[in-house]
Amino acid sequence: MASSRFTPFERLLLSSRNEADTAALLLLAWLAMSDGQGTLSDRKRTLLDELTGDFRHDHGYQLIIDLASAPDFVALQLAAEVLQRYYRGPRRETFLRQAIHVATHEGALVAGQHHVLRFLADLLGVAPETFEVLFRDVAGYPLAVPEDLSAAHYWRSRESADHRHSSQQDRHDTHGESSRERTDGEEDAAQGSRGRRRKEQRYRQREHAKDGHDETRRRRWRWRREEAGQREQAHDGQHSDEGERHREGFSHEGAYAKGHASGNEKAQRALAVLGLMENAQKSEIKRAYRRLAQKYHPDRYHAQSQEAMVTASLRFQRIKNAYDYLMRQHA
Amino acid sequence: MSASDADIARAIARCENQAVKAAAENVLRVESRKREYDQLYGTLTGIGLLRARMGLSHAPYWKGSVANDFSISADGEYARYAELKAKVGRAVRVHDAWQQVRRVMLWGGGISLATGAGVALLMFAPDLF
Repeated sequence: MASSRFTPFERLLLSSRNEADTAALLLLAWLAMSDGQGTLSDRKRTLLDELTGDFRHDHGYQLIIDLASAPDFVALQLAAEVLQRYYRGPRRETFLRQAIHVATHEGALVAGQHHVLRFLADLLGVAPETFEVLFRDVAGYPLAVPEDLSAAHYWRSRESADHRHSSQQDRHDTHGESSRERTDGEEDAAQGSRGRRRKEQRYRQREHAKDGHDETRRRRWRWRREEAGQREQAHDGQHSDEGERHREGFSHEGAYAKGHASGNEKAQRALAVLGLMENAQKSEIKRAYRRLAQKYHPDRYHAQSQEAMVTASLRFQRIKNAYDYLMRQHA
Repeated sequence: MSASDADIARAIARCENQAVKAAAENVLRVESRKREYDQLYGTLTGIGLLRARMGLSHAPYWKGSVANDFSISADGEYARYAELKAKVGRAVRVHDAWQQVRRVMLWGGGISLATGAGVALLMFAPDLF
């Protein structure tokens, strides 16, 4: 039997207005601090404030940050148990969206955050197919395999990619400086890492361009949710170009997906949304759509909170987009 | 806790697997790489512990070399939430018991005081009776 004294986190949970929200806040702070920086940057702290603005926590963040930075795995286990117990249905998806947003806010996911995100997905019982769709939805690029920091080739490829990037910049600046010679093996090893970094870099640039105004950036998460709600209410007949991009992307980042994903990739994503295997027949697609539409129709969540309604609308819209796309493919 | 440079050098010298030895040389002998690796190692060790205690060692996102390296067997630790509930239960019982003792003490004190006052009056002011 352990000590009968209450730990600081237990006291915090007991005095919180909502223990599930307090537990979620600790896990999000842990995720934010798994980026290898060792501290919670002001930007991440502001982001946490925004995302958890409607959490019924009502306490200062200092203890949470102290526990997340140590990290205190006894407190994290308790938080994970509370979350597993209370976050079910649409709430888990909302939480995972918040987690992905926290992890990808500053661009590239570091290996530690990859593993924490995967732990949270397993904790809440979200299947990898669903989580990958969620990830692409929020981050705008696919979930990659975490880097292996214990492998020598990872460091070689990373440093040569960094070196190459800086030498390219130097060459661009000085017009004519010769680049370093590289072996074919290193080139191959660096290619995957460079590609991923370039993709993430593009995503970062797009995000910065999109968030030109500070005020917009502060409110982006809520704006996305509101926008999703509005899209849901929009008339089916209003097919602007922007709307078409969103529809085909099955995501908030539809414009990006359209520009970069091939038709085959889109079809695979659409099939994943409907929980189907490759080469699914038209009848199977229709059956899967009917089943999911009945299960996730927003009217079923009418009696629940506004947040649950918005999440359900988002999910239903994504299912419908995927179905429409696949039907067009089969026409 | 991170191993010292001397410990790492000894471990590398003892290692017989050439691939592991080369990787360790590359990663652990460079300070910046080692720092980053240590942080990830700490995170993965913690996640392995949490997964073992919460029954998530065979979940879909815990497989491959990471799962092989960082999975531990369940250490018989109790569930934290159940422990918290048990603590709250004990605290409630102690509180209730104390309230009962306090009530008895208050009644006892009141009765003693009244009896004392009565006896005092009887002794020092018998004319009142």
